[in-house]
Amino acid sequence: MRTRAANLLLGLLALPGLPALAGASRAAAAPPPRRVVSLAPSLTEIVFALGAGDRLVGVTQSCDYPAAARGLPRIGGMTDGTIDLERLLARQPDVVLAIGEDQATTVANLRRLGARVEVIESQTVADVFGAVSRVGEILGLREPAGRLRRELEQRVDRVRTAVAGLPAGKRPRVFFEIWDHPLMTASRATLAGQLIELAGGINLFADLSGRYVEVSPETVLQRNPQVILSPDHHGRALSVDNLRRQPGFAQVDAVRHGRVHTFAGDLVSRPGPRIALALELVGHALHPDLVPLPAEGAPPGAARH
Amino acid sequence: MSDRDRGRRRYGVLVLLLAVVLLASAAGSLLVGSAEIPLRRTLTLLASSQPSLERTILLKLRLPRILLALVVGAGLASAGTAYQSLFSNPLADPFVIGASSGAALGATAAILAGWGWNGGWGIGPLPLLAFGGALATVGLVYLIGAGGSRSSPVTLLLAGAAVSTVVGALVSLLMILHDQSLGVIFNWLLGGLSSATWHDVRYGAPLVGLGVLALRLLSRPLDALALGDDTVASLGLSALGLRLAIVVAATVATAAAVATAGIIGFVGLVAPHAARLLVGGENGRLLPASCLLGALLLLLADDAARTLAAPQEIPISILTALVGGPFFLLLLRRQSRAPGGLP
Repeated sequence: MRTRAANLLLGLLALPGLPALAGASRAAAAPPPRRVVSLAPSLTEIVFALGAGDRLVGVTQSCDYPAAARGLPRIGGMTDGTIDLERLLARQPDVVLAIGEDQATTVANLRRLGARVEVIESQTVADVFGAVSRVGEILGLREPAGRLRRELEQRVDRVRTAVAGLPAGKRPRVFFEIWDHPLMTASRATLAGQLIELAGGINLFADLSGRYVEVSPETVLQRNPQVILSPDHHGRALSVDNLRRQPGFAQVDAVRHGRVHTFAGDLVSRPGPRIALALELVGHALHPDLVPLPAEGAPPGAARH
Repeated sequence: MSDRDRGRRRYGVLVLLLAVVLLASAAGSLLVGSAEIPLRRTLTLLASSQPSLERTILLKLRLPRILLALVVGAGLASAGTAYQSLFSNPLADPFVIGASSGAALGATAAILAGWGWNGGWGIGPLPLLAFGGALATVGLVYLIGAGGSRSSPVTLLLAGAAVSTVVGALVSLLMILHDQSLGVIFNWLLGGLSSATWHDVRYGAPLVGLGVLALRLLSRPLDALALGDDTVASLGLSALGLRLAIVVAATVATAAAVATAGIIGFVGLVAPHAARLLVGGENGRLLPASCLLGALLLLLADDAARTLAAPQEIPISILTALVGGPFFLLLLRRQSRAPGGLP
């Protein structure tokens, strides 16, 4: 009841924007959309990678890559309840690009208001390939999308092939530290967890379900990770030294052999076109002899040792 | 032997027994954790000084965690005992009367400002702000809930609930407006001892200890206060000053406990009541007994938190609420049925 009333109110407030929306719902045969709103940083990156960044008229607060995305109008966060529908509609988008996760209510509301919304599945590495194609189709940029997709698939395959056939004994045990206080890790169900396995590693907590899980520090020590990976901030900036200084960490193999790496947090958690780069960096961290350090396109400081 | 002597002896035996049980449980907790280290191995590790991974687990992870559980449990239980006596309200507890959420607001502000524990002897901006927040909320709750002429136990609880809600909303607002630090604060608010380090023990324990000790010293005047302001005056003390001193001491213990381990509810409720059943209502006896029981309670809760779903950790506040919530309801029911109980 409350939602309906809120929708009605929003509809009234957005009246000036309505003609544009009604026109947008005529879909396929119409010319490719000129005004695009993206509801996820991964989708924003795909639009930019396809060379259509200038069509974006609204992005989320988290859309910070590439640098040009930071200057774009913000329409709120990236989950239901944090997205500002008024501001979104006021941007008069021809199409709204949404993700499946945590945006169901927003998508339903936007559609009820007559906006064209495309939901693009975007959680796994494989999803990224599909998402590139879908966004290309929607924006009428099939050819560049095809090129980008082929490039990403090749780069992911190259890492996968390099580590294929490694016996279990050659696959390092990897602890991915998402958070330090309390100690939290990324399970196999997360993008980071997927990267570890694609790059030829074994997740230290492969036995846990759930996505981001608080784990016992003593189990981390006992299972003795050979490599520790972490985003480069836990709310505040983080260095390899911080990681090493946690109680008992000095004694695990990863720290003793200097195999602690931090990555730009968005790189390993964002299912966008930089996923190939993320996989190459993780691959190099796990198997420096098999996966070369990506030279080209690696943002400075993307991986630190 | 007079009744009085017998009572004193019985009390002495009880406290000794509690202390022994507590020490045994603390030692036993060294054996409990997601990494299984058998008893014999543990003893060998403790006896030798050879560094090893398991020795690190025992001495750098489990031991500070155990000590912090004892300290925080003792602090919350002492504060609860004092609040209950001061407000003549069996349902008062640092969590219920808003002290915990006030401390959380202060600590949240400190974290957002980038201030920590540092500052010489553990009196940094973070505990100071936590203390300020707790004192402000308790003061407010006290003025609204217990200060008036027609106040009742229910008024105090309602005031506590309302102030806690407002303060909780302020914490949420601060978090939302600074969503970069959202994760830090959120995890910290959930409370827990899983990341306890010697650093936490070094900074948190002295402050909690200070509050607990002050309350112990104030236990006789606290008894006098229960008999009326005239009794206090006959001891040559000012009732107002005494109340203030007790609130400050209990709030120091609460704020330091919250600043080290987040919000952990109901320990300050369950421990004093269990202690009252054992040693009676006189604060000189009640406080030490309650202190020991609170430490024991939180120690056992943390043992459960680190083993029930191992290697996954369960936030300890979930466990204390699961045990303490029903206990609170039971007390509420008993109170409302007792003659002269809650209106």
